[in-house]
Amino acid sequence: MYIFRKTLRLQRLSILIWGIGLTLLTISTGAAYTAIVGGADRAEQIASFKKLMDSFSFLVGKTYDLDTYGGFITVRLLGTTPALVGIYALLLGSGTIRGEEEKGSLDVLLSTPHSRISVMLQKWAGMLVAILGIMFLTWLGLLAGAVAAKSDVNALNGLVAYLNLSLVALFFGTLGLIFGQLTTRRAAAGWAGGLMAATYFMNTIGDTISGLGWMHYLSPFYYYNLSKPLSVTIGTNWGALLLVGGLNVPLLLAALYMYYNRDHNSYFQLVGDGVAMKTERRSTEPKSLWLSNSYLFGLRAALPGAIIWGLGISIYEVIILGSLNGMRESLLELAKTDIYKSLGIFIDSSNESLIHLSFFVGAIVLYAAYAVTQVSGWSGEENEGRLELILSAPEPRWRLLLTRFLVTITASAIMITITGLIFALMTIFSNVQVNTANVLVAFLGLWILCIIIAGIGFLLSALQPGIAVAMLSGLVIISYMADLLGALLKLPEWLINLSVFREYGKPIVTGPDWSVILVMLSISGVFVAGAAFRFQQRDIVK
Amino acid sequence: MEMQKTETQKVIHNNNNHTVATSSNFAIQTEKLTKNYGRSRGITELDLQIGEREIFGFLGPNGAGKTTTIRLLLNLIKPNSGRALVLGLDSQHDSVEIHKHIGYLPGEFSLYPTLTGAETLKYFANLRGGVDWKKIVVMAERLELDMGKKFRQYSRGNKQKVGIIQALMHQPHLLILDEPTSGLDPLNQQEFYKMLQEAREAGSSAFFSSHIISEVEKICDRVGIIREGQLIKVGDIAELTGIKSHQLELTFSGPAPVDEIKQVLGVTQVENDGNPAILRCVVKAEAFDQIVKIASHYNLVNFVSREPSLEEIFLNYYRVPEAVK
Repeated sequence: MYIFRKTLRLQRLSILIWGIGLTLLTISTGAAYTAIVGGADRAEQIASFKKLMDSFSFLVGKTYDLDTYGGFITVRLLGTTPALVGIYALLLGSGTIRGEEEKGSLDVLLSTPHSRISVMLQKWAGMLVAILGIMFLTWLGLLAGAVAAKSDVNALNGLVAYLNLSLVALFFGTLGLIFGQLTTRRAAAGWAGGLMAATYFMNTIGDTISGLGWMHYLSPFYYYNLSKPLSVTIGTNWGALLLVGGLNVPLLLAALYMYYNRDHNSYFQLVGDGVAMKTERRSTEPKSLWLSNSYLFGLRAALPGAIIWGLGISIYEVIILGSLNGMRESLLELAKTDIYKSLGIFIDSSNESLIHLSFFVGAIVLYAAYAVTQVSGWSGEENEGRLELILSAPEPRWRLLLTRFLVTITASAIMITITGLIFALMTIFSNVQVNTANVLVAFLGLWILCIIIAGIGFLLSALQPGIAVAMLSGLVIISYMADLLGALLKLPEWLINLSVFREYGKPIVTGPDWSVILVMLSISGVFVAGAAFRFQQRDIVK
Repeated sequence: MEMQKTETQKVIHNNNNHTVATSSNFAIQTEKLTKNYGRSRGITELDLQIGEREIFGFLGPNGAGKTTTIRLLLNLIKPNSGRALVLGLDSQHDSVEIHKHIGYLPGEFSLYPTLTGAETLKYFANLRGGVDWKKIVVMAERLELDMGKKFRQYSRGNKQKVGIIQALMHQPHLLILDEPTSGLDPLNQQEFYKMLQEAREAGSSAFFSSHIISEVEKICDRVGIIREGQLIKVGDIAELTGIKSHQLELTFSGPAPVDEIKQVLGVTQVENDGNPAILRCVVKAEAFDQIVKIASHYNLVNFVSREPSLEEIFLNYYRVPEAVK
């Protein structure tokens, strides 16, 4: 049990940070519930809020029992939180075994009298308990939120709800563990993250768009959502809950099989006999253009990710644009609601407005997430010790940073170009008439958004490389939520305007606002200049 | 201590056709170089001078400040006070110019797991520019490195070879190496020593840290010993291991003249191990003659004189805190 305890001990800070973060989110949601249901026009407020949430059902799923605290928490938090905790789980899962092999720390562990099976099982159990720990803290937040909201909540049902959430998050952690047997830690995290995003949208789209219902059966989020223990109307579907938990078993067995049968510090070969590739002693000078300078070298590393992300988002485009004409009536119906109008998400009944609502409102998070992964790549160079040698080359630090920033914005441009081209093709094939100039501006705006997020990320990396990605992810989530729900939560306008998503606006509907674009580019320039200055001045992390 | 000023202006050339005008006769010169890490130790007021074409060994236990010193020279970390000149240039302000003329091997490093050794070395060669690929091939053959394997497939020793080659491939004017033979087998260690000597013969200097005292003794001109962030001893190998202190063992037919010998200046650690006829002591060179004269007044049966190894001296500095003073 030593390995299990050690795994858990290493996660104690993460458990606290994630647990406290989610607890605060839960308590603040409890406060929002009080604000909505506490007024004199309670029924009207709840009805308006339900309409709003229904319109975002492709993100948060269907809504039930909004007039109860448990139902409110289910709708506001328990639809999206699995994806958040899933990120924690998949990062942990992909780092388990593979990450330690890459660091070299597993060699020592395997020299102790523990079998590989025991090592992996104990580490997996550590991951499970870490997730349960986060969820336990969040459950305490649920109870505290109920006290704050002066509402009743069934504590036992709350436990079941968070157990359900833990099991679906664990699924992606175990998936990360499997992919870690096949590839590098970073790639394993990327694969698991991509699969999580894909299955998340497969479920919500399958739920929302008629004709695509078959898709949600392929998603673990569907089985997770069959249970809503805090919602009186739905309750707990024990079969579905056991299925979600049971999905982890074959995955874990597969991971154990791969780990048991592969070489240490090597990858499991899906094709062939698992023997390491035979290599010959070679002294031929590599002539690859990619090796000629830092920019091309960085671009070579970023290109596969840009293409995968571009094609992944394109699938989303294909689904949305392919079914836009079919969704038109239901979307227009939603547009008539007062709360919808007051939020200003929907402007008119044009195709551009429909596309903004059905694609850009959701997909913009994916573009932002891509920018975060690019920042993660840059800060990882330092955190993993690669800068130690690179910075001994005769190149100033600021130039290296600017080169890597240039790589980031080039890769973003490639990714956005892929999605833009497929978007254009889909509008033609699906016979969706759009204003071409506005579409171009919308995709240009996405690029500017990636640039400013990368700029903030590079600045954070220059300040604190160890926690830059976590801070940037938090900022992006808060910024997105502020833009999406700021009006509902009655946030001050100046605060909402700080959101980069608010500044992105609705260019596909309204056309370009060049002054905003110039301001965002200028701010990005300031961030990057600040990053270069700070990076030049500070100690390099070893 | 005042930093010594320029005697002559010199121009360094290397294979890359880079030139740099240096303003010092030292490859490395530090003045009260200090780095604090909060509560944990760094280095304190380090004064060090390493000459041109000198191979300087930097000895110290784990956490003594060896790597901190090296990272300060590379401008990877910033000093709290003091400064360092590398090839006559300020390590903080002229680091890019300095980096053109140095080869660096970190104690721990990480590279791109999916690149082959050849691709890794080609990339670093391109970052520097003007590196002859044939030199890389020759070094790889000498160190028996298979450059066709991916970096992640390399053993620790082979990764170290990639690091050594990238440090030497551009024939730098100064080599800064943090435990360079770590992970190498004895044959490859010998080959590395040869390469280092060849670099020195070609005009390079080297500053390297090591735990392996025998290799320092074998290839270094001078040695610095660092302890708890402070430089406690600098000297050439002969000075440290040879004439400065002898370990004597004198056997008399009767009781040894312990009190008489204790009076002699430069004699320390006088003991007889319970046998009154045997006397052991450590004697500095200037006291040697007087000890012999005293012994000649007694019936001396046996006389053994031994020069301590660098290892013994090194251990002595860490065992006896007073030695620092």
